[in-house]
Amino acid sequence: MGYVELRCRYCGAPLDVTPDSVVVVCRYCGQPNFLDGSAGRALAVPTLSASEVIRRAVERTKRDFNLGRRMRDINFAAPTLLYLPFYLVDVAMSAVYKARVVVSYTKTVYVGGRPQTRVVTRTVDVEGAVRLSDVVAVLARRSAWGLSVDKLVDHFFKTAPEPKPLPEVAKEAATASAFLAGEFTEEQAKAKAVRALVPKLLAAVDSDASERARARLGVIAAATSVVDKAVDYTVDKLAVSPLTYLPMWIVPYFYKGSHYSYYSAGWDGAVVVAEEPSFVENKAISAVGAAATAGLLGGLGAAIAVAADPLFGAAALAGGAAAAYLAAGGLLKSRRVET
Amino acid sequence: MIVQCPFCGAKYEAPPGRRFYVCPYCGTALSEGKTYENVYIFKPAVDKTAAFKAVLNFRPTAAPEDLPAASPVEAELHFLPLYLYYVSFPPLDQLATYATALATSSPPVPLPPSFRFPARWRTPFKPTLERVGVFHSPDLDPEAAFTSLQEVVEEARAYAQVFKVKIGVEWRLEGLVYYPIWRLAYDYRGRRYSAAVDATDGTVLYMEYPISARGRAEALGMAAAVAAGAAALGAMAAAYVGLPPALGAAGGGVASLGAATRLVLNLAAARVGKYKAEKRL
Repeated sequence: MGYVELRCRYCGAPLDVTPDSVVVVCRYCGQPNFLDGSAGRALAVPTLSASEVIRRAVERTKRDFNLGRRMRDINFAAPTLLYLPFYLVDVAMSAVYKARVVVSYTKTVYVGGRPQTRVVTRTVDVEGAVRLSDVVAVLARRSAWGLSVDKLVDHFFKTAPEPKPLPEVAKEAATASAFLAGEFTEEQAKAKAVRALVPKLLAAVDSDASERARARLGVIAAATSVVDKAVDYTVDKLAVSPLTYLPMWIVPYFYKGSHYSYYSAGWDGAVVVAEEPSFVENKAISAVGAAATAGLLGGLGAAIAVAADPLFGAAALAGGAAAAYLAAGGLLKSRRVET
Repeated sequence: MIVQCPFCGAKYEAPPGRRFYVCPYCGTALSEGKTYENVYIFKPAVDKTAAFKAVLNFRPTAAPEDLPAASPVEAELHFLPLYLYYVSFPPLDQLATYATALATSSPPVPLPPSFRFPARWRTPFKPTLERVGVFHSPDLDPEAAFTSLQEVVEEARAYAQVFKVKIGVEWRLEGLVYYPIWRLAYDYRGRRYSAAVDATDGTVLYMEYPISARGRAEALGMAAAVAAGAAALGAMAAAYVGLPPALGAAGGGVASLGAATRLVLNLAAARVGKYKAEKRL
């Protein structure tokens, strides 16, 4: 299980390198060594210190409805910093389309001087063009990260912290070892971004086609469905940023001895995803949900089954039981996620 | 048939006709009668103690308060075999990528449905005579295992489609990779429970756990509360629409059996509690 030995460019001492290393700070001379050729161009958002991140996590906990009243049982442990590699891809795409839209609307007609409502269904052929642009953050690793990465990206776009050149950020050993190597090339990141945008573009085509169909018929309130469409895409712009590292802290805490985590954005300490215990009040909500669905559907179902329509009543009863079964899932969960 | 490992000398039983034979003791891989050299490993980053700590501090619903004091009895590192592919999409060379897929049809522990294996952070594997874990043999064809990488192919197709390029899908097998998972057993009040932890990052993948008397009682209490609430609400709903309230109460009570069934089967009357990881945060 050995590694290829790498040595410090400045003093020649051996470096502690893992396959995931991007930058390694030499233990002897303290100089950062960049292992990946492209790391020189990479950017990184500076992070707050560990103690500052914990301070914000504690503040968030005090404000939290469920956790705030249980502060006495909560202890925070040392957080772990991860610098996750992203490509920010600026995509602009346009689509020229031809579509067939079914429009249904209600119309008031006068039959013998008395108003009557009629549903009119018409099929309209429309064509048009839509354009869509977006900046998509693509995690440059194909690993099973989930919600925390999405929320970190949302928070990044909302707060827009300034990335700095990687060498300015990765100066200390503790920070340097947090950088995770990127797995994708820029081209793969572009592919991911395009893939993320195509469904949005198709949705924009649908709404544009519906709009045109309504306008053609001169109706404002009408249900539309696009039954057939031919779309031709063009990519107008596809520009990718240098690899950009965003800091995420995993802040573990213990509640009565069991282990949970916060996921915090490193630049401002905001908790983007909080894993929390499922407390009695959370379970009570599930229980009320189960009782409400079972009571309403089952109660009405049984009464209707006996008094009016046995088949319909029995179906409602069975539906109530199924809904209660599903709602009880919340009672079995030991943890919840707050974002 | 019996295979003798050329490295450690151990003999092991394996069905004939397989593309790879992996020695369960030292991890040496054989292919077509020769030692197969392209073997990699994901280094286990979580040790036995940390793995037990992750499990015993996890505290699923209705687990006893003193679960952290349970005694660890067995810890075995299992290495799942993955195939490492180099996938390319001619003529778009820039999309070529490495990817890994599980090479066994029967992993030793249940894995979450959306579990994805990394491809890049592998290091070359060299067998040692020191016992590090149990190595599992690939039993799927590389062709069959490749089908689980649909996502990688779809992504390239979506990209190619936009640029109106027709791409092919080509792959070659680059090697075998071992992925480490801890299989643990612990005792709590004379009973044994099993668990599994991802040894690369400490995620609890699966665990069995004792259900405390208090946990069982709480589950029954919740079932009763749901039934009472449903009956009351059912009576009110029936009365509101002018039907007999007693019928409504009975109906609400019957429908609440759905919730009760789930609580009783999973907690109140279950022999052991079971937790399965769904997705990672």
